[in-house]
Parts: sequence; C-alpha cells; structure tokens
Amino acid sequence: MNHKTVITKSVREAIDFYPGGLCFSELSGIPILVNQQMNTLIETLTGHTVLDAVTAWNELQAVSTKNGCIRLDKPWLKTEYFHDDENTLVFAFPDDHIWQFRKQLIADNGIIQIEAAEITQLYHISEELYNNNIRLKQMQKRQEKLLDDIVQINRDRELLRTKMRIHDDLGYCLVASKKALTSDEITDEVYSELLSGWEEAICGMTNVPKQNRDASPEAELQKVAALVGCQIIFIGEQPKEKNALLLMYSAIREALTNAVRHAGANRLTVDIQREKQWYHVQISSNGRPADGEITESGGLKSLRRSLEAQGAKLSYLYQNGVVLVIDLPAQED
Amino acid sequence: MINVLIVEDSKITRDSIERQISDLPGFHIITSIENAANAEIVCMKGNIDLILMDICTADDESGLNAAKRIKQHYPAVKIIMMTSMPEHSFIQKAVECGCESFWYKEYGNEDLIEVCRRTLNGESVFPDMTPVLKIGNCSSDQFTKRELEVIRELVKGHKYSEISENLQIKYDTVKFHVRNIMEKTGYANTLQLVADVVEKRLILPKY
Repeated sequence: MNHKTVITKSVREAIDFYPGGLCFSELSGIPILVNQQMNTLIETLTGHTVLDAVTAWNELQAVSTKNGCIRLDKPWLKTEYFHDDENTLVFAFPDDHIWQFRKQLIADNGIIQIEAAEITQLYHISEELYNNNIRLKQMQKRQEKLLDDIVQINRDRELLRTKMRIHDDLGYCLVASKKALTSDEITDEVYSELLSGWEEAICGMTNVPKQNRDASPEAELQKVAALVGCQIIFIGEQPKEKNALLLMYSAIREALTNAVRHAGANRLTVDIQREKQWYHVQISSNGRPADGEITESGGLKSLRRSLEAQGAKLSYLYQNGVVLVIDLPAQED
Repeated sequence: MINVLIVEDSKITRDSIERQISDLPGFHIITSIENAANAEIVCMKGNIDLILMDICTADDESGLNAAKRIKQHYPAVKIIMMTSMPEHSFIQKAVECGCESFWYKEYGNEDLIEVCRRTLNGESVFPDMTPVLKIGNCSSDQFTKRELEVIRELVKGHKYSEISENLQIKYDTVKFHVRNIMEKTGYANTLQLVADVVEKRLILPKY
C-alpha cells in the first residue's frame, strides 16, 4: 500500500466518522467525496445514494414528504439561529431527528459543498423560544391595555363599592321597616330612627351617577369657552375615532387659549373636512390678526409633539389672522 | 369671597366636594369640570383663587400637567392636588409643579376643608409620605428611588437595554437592580411584579 492510498483511505475514514453529512462535488455534480451519513440521509429522502450532487439537491428541493420524512417550513426557522434561503432545507426524519441541509460553493466557487447538520435540539428550543416570545408579546399587549384601563377600572370599583353600600342601607331599612310595621306599636324613637335611615339611604342613592361622565368632551369645552366669553362653532362632522377626536380637542383648546388671551377673540370656528384617510381641520378665530408668523413655544410646541406622536400634522395658514390647520389620521370606512 | 374651580371626573367625589365647599361661608364655586386640560381656560377669566385638582381626569388628561401650565401663567392661583391613587411619585411631582397642597381622598386623615383653609392661609399641606403598599413580600417604602425608576421602566414594557439607555446606567446595573427587586418581593419574574404594582397603582406611567 503506497503513501497516497493510505492518505485517501484515512480521509475517507475520517469523514465517515464525522457525525454530520458531507458531500463535495464538482460544479457539474460529479461527486468528489461523500460520507456515509450523507448517503444514508439522501437515500432515505430520495431512494438512492448521491450519484450526482446537483441532481440530488434538486430532488431534495422537490421533496415535501417521503418515506416518513417531512420537509419543515416553520416560522422559527426564519429566526437568526438558522439560515433562511433557497440553499437551505430542513427535514424531520421518522426517528424524530431533524436535519438541516445546506448547499454552498467553496474553493473559489469551484466546488459544491452540501452539508447536513443534525439540529433537533436547536429546532425544538427555537420553537419553544418562538412560542414564548409570542406569549410575551401578548402579555405585553395585555399589560399595556391594563395600564390604559387601570384608572377607569379603579373608578368603576369605587362606584361598585358605593352601590353595594346603598344596597346594604336599603336592605337594612326594609328589614327594620317590616319589623316596625308588624309590631304592635311604633314608638317615636323607632319612627325617627327609621325616618333618618330612609333619608340617608335615599340621599346616598341620588348621588350615584348612572354614567361616569356628566358632560361630553365637546359640552365641557363649550362650557369653559363660554366662561371666558367665547363661542365655538363646529362645521362638518367630528371624527368618530376617539384618538382623533381627543387630538382635535387638544388643538381647539390651544387655539382657544391663544385666540382669547392674545387676540381678544369671542368666536372660534372649527371647520372639519373628511378626506379619505384624513380629517382636515381648520381652526380660525375672529380675534385681532397676529403680527408676523407664529413662533412655536410652550403650548403649540407640546401640541405639535403630541399630534406628531400619533401620526397627525400641524401647520398654519395666514389669512385674516392665523388659522391652525391639523390633519388627523382617520380609519378607513 | 374665595372663587373655587373643581376638577374632578368622578361624579360621586365631585358632588361630595361641591357640597362641602358650597356649605362654607365665603366660598363660591365658579364651575366644576371633569377634564384637567380645560382648567387653564377657566383661569383666563381671572377670578379663580383656588383649584381643587384631581390628578387622573377625564380623557386621560393629567391634573399635574394642567397645574404646571396654570402655575406658569397664573402663579397666584392656589392649587390643591387630589388623588385616590397611591402612585409613589405624585407628591414629588405636585411639588415640582408648584402646587401649594396635596390631599389623598382615601388614605389620609386630613379633612379637605381644613386643607383648603390652611392653604388659603399661606400654608403648604402635604402628606408625610405616599401610602405604603404591600408588593409581594415587601412594602413599597423598602424600594430605593432607583429601584422604583427601574420598576417604572419595566411597567412601560421596556427591555433591559432600553432601561439602561433611558436611565443612563449600565446594562449590568439594571440586572443588579432587577435582581434586588426580585429578592425583596419574592416574585419569580418581572411580569408578576409589574402586574402587582399596576394592580395596586403604585405606578401609573401615563401620569
């Protein structure tokens, strides 16, 4: 046995001991070296060992299920831990092992290498991680919702507590009244105790609101505007989306404050136009025209910040005074 | 005559405060509103002496923000902040906004009318401390200032790397604080912690 034969055999043995699958071929597909593991895997998937690497790869690409093997295309395979391109294929084998096949060009693009790596553990951990991340995102959404609602939840709890107290008071009055009415005689003391009990229960009952809000945002804004001698006139339909509506009221508040404080206005006109995905709102007043252009500071600056944070826009028109123009994103009908 | 503006979005509380104030000789309620953002407009009338201002008001408007703006334009108006929320930062924020006094609707023994009188006499009436809440195995006063800042960041759903950036501390320092918080509370994960502090209203990041 000459030296060259020894080296070739040793290389063959060495790559056969390699736990993964390896295949090196010429660009035409003629195999140079294929290890035992690769032949076994390819045989299970295609029904034959590697005779031509290019053909074998094409056959692998066409396999979706064969001999109990299933081609996998799960979303967690698209995460950073895996290659996700046309040169990567993943299969589940009947023995529950998962193998990833990857084709690449090596040796200055002169040789094709197909490598098969057993990724069973990585696959299952990634699946778990992927599902945990989804759960975490859902929990985060629920947490954000809870934060949004916590003040209202608290308010509702207070209301419920009050209603329960009134329920108890009324129950007590009813029982005491029944007892007094069925007794032979009602003393002055019992009578006055009953009377004050009923008065308290009824008084408590009249203070419980049927709804949380007394005034709509518009009604309250009109009320405070009237207090400073200003009337707000709305033209057009107001936004239905709560966010857009509240942003519009913030802008009206700012315009009202400036118009009354700096321009002595007593009338504010809010003109609302719906334009496909936007509400176009122009807010003008009958106050004195401003000298020069608006310099944003304080209120206007913070209004712009809150508008832009929610995808809305703020601009100005200069025509018989300053007109505040806001564009609010609308939901599609 | 003391002219009063009441900002309170709970009808029960508002009715109760209105009754107490209108029974007082020398006090006159100009109006009651539900949304703190409208308070500054009322102040433009120029006749408000005292505002009883809730912190969490209608449409999620913050009474603290409103108070800050009012104090900039109308520093003579006295403001008493009111809340039923045990949020740990509210007292400090009220001081920073320049409010004269602070009244807990549910926790303190202080009478609102007494707080009004003392405030109008030039005193600043503030509770000694925020209500102490049980968070897991520890009480809320056992958290350091920095730990409360870290919890606030966790409540906002920020990752450790974002907390590190927002609070200008090292990533490992964030982990160190979180580990300490977990040891104190006995919670197994930050989600349990966040659920508890939000449920008990120790932290309300919107305000």
